[in-house]
Amino acid sequence: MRKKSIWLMGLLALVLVFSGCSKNNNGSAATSPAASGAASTAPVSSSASASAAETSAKVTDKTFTMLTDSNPSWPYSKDWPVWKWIEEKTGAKFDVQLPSGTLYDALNLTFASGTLPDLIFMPDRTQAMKYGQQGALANILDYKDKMPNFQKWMEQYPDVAKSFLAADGKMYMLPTEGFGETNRVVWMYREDIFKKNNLTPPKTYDELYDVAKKLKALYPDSYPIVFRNGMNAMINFASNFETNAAYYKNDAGDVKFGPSEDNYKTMVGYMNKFYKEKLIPADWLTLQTKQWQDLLSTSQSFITVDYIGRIDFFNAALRQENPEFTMAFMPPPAGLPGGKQQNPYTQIVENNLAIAASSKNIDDIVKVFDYYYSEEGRTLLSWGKEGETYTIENGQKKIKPDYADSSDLRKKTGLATNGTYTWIDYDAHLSLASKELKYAYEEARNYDSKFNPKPSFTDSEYETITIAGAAIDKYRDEQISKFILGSQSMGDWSKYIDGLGKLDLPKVTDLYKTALERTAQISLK
Amino acid sequence: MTLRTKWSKGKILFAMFIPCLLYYLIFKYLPIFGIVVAFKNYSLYRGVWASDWVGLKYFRLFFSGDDLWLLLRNTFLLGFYNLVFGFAAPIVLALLLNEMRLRVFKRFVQTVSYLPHFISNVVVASMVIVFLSPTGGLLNRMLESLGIGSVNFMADPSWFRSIYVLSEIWQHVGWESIIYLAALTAIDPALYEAAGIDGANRWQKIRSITLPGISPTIIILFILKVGSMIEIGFEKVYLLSNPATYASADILSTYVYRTAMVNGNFSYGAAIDLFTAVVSFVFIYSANLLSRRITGNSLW
Amino acid sequence: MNEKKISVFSIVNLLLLTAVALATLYPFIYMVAVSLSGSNYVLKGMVSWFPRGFNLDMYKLVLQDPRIMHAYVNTIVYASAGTLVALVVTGLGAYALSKPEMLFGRGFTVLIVITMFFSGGMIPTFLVVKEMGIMDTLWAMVLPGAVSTWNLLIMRTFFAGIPRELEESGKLDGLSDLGIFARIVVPLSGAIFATIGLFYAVGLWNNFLNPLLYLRDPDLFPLQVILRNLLLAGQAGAGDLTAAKGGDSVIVEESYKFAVILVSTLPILCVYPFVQRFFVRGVMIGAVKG
Repeated sequence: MRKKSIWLMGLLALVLVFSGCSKNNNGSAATSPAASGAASTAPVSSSASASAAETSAKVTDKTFTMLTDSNPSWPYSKDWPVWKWIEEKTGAKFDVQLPSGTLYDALNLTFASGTLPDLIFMPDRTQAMKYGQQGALANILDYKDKMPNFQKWMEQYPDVAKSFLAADGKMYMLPTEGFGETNRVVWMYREDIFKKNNLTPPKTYDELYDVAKKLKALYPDSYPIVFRNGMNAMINFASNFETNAAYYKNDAGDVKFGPSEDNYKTMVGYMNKFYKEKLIPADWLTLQTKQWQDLLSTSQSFITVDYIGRIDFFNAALRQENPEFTMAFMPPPAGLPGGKQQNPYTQIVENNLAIAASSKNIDDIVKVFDYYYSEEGRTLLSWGKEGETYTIENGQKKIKPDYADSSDLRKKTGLATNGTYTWIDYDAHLSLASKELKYAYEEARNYDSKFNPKPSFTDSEYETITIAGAAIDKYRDEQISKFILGSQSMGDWSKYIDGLGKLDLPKVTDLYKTALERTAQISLK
Repeated sequence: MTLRTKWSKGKILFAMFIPCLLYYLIFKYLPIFGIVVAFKNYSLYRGVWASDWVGLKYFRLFFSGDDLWLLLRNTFLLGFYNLVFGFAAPIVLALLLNEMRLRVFKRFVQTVSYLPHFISNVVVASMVIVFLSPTGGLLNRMLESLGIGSVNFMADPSWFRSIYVLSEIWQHVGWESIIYLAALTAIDPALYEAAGIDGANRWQKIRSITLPGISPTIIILFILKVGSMIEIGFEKVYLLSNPATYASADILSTYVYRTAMVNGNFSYGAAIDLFTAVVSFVFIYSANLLSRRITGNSLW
Repeated sequence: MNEKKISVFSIVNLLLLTAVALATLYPFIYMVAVSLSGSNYVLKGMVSWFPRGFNLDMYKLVLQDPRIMHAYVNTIVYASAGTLVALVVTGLGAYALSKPEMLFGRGFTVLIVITMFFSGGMIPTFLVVKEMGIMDTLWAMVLPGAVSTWNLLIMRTFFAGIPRELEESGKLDGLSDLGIFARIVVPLSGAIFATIGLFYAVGLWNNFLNPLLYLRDPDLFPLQVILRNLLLAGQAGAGDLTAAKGGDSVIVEESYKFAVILVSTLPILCVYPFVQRFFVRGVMIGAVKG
């Protein structure tokens, strides 16, 4: 009885959707033939030389329902040219549903109500794997025969593709590559202040300590080093010490819990020293974003670790008053004697679309998204259209000056917004960055640490991980913060290690190991 | 009185109650089946009925946890302090306002004092953290100028409960005093006049007229507050706590958030909620029983 | 002697209440000042009491959103309709429960109190509302919050305190229970209706969860939904630098954040001074004597 009513409601929704689109069609009918005509005559690439997979014949004429998210900085618009471009190439149209609150809440309600749209934007891979393993989402690998471009793409990025596999070896969301660049976390320093005082950026933590001491002597009220997000920031420092703030696979191939390693202890020792000598703010643990901003913009702090894009954020705002102000990229200092200078690997994006298993249009949808994974699709969905959004000078693509920065580009065109990309050519966004930021991106690539694949768990493994793992994480955060604050002596480190052992750490580490090995053994062929 | 005569006397009253009854049946008792989720491995997609039964698994998991006693202790203590101080504050404010003779000033304070109720917990927490910050926070600057030296309030577990309770009072004292101000309007002014003629001073008037006048309201609210004592919302505690203060700040609701909600484990969350509900119900039941014996006032 | 004692108390009282006023007013002064200041002054933490680099940019930014005015209207409709329905349902129910002759009065009270603690949770409630077919209607905003147990019990306590003689006189005049309630009890209970009405109105005004659950049509969204979404921009990933999507989250300026908060709360703040009119002492007593 219940099932029947849900089924009926689904049918009703479907009818509504179709009647809705046919209405929309009347409006766009006049423009779409003209637009597609233009597409076929425009010299996109000499069609003769393009491989069969690259041809962009329309693969569908359907409208797909899509639940996605709207970023307030570039709020969703159905009039964005990107939708028109996608339709020209693939024929696909999207009927977008937006959540009234957060996407997480909307997902819960959507799955609970039982009527799913064709496409669902997943805010992280855990959600996709959870619902996928429950049977709600389609396994994209089942359709790979219909996706020649996607197959080629997987050959090019096997590690990325594998990181989107669930524990059962299936792929429940469309993998994405290229856009993670915005998530780079780097060290930055006040170049102008350093130059004024004849200081050089530190290459090791000992040099970092010395330079901070000198700055503290020059500016007694300052806290030379500052970072926000308290204990969560430890992941950034851990990679300077060639370890990790959680579970990871080390160079020898062993799965380890970073905070139980000696390297991590060395890091905590440095942090404790910085805290004691007031080189970091006394309230580093609770520092609010606003306080962090204040300290840096009022020249009370000179060195920080944050997203790479903050370079432009500070420079643009503070040069209005002080043209000298320069926040610049700083190579990460090495924590260990003779150690590597490296940043954490954060340049990944883990959110993208999933396809509902109940959708009647899966065959059409996968064909549409196969275009997203083609070189041509990548160019179109990263750069837009030549002449309209970008120009080519000396063989180099350049976004037109009509767009002030990348968020302006997104706001005006819809490029690089949810549901419009899977494979991004980040150069499109870089071409809009300031010279300093471009330099930072180029430099930052020299200090990449190894990509650390995330494990995929089965439901029951995941439950153990969340309950036992949460207890371990809490213990770690509490103990480490006490070591740094000095309310617990570094001499008690072995007690902390004993405590970890009592909390099922070996069991959880083993689960990580099992999961990582399982994924490694899966073949995508 | 037989049921029949009772019915004929009370049928209109009963009819007046019907909309309310329907509300509770439809919006409270119809969805209550959701409680079974605590005994199942709930999958949103499969739905409540199709999810697998797991019996008492999540209760066992919770009761065998290492942190159980710390969590219960922290939850109980935080709730208790909040009840003791947070309950008295609005009554005191209402009495002070009641004694204020300057009409305009009284209305001004009354209006202003309820403003913080409208600030979200996120903003309140960040204001508290900035205010108490050892790097440029207002309070620490004052302490330093007095020669006391700065205190890292937010990183010290022994300060946590005071900070939480004080911020709760600041946020809600004005709002909660409204109900007492409304109750005060029901007191007969003639009583004060008579007491004045008898030569009673201000304190005596408060004790023998004002307080007894609002005591039914005080008692009912107290019973309700005892019932909700350990149901402490997670948001503000979570925002004000940090790893260094877990020793006193980790409570049931933050534990549920960390282990269940973040990861979408609704069943585990539901099991702990059910446990909290049972304890809370025992509390309110006892408070009600005691109050009926001692004061004659009770919820039922 | 007595005179002097009273004046000491008055001074202490005045000082205490001034302190309360300052402590509770200051954050608002700060928010107003920041929201009206130039972004550079805010960035450098130079604003404390008065705006610096005065401008209305943030308010323009918030108010120029085409959905805002529409959302204001929606919120006002939901809050007033909701308050009206809630006061009627709660008032009638509370009065019935306040009478000793109410059938199963105690049993019902226990059943009601139980729901304060035991609930099926958000999703079963959502499914019930969905099955009722009131999604995307005014009713979805009004009905699921029509009774707050807390308010119901407070009202009941208040009604129970009304002197019996008043109602007896109504009975002698041949009024039914409903008549007594409407003609005698309601007019005497201005303060409690105003207070509980305020509680409901504020709850409805600030409600974010119900629209989130029960509204899909953006034309029906109330103010809080629109404004909260505007604020979510900077909060995505703000708590966690390592979140895999934080890099392109924009840091929301304090001035913008506070402008949003003020735009969304100012109208409801203005209600309380009107409510205070009903706080008149001695109305009921006059009625008894008359």
